[in-house]
Amino acid sequence: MSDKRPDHLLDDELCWAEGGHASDIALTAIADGELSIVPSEVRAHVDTCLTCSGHVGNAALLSLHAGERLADLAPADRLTAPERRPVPVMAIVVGLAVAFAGALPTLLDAMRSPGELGRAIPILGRGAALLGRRLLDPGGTAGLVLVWGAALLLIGVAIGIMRLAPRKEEVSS
Amino acid sequence: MLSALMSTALLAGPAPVSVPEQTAELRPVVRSVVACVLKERPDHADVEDCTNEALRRALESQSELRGPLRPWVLGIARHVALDTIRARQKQRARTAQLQVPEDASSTNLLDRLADPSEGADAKLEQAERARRVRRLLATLPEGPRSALELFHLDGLGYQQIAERLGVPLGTVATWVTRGRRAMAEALEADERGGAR
Repeated sequence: MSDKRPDHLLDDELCWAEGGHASDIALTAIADGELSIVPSEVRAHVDTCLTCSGHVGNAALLSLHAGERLADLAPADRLTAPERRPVPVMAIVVGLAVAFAGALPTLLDAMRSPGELGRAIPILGRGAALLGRRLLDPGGTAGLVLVWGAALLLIGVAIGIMRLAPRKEEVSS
Repeated sequence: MLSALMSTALLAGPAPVSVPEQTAELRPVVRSVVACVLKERPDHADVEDCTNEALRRALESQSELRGPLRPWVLGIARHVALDTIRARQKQRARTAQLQVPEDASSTNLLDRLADPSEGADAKLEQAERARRVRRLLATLPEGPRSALELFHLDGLGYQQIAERLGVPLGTVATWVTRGRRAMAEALEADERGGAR
């Protein structure tokens, strides 16, 4: 007699225990809702056997308990990398297309009156040069505000990273 | 009313499977969990009552569902069964109180007061639990540990875990069963050791 089952089903030798009852492995699979991998005769037995259906409850409680305990863990404690979601390429392409369509009337307007664009560029350039001089002026208020502001921003970001980064704890054996 | 809800759920279209349908499919395992917590036979009247109550609560509060359905419904079932045990204990205590002198029953007053420190310690307890789980997970072999993480944290099925880890389905089922049992035994031993 062969115990070999199709690949999507558990083998007989894993499903039955002594006394004609379902094995712990089959009961755990049923408790986890993996009914499709348990052979139908094992499921039929569990449905009618008080001992086995009691053990299914035990296995379900054990599963619930293990799930709750594992949920307490930080992501950094995991051995296996979590399942990565694929990059939503289609959504990004559609988003870019919509954005381009939205900007199209403005772009067409700008192309129709190139003179206005030509006049705006030197004004913007002069404004940027003035702002640069003010910021780089030694002892100027704007420069000081920029330097101290940047320093405070860096310190803030560093504190944020330290607080948010998961801490790896040493495991004592 | 519950049966009406169930039959309505079962009459719905073939796909996708709705939450009421999935909840109704969980009835056998919910009954087993309740029976296990109550330590009664699955055909006991209290088990049937608790099962109906758990499924009713699950259906009524399905908008609160965050994450996978099965552990959520089983958690409700466990809660309902524990409530029933507490109600039974209260009933027994009341009956016992009626049989003892009044001055003796008043000594239980302190026991009945709520413990105000419970909420304040919750975070510390959770951190301690996490530390224990981390320690014992480190003692598990890589296979069972990965299988448990993928099942409980990523919500993958046995077949998907088998494909991901490149092992046969039976190996995954064995890893999940043995890993979970080892985890429970180690936690129990740890708690016994801590209590000493």
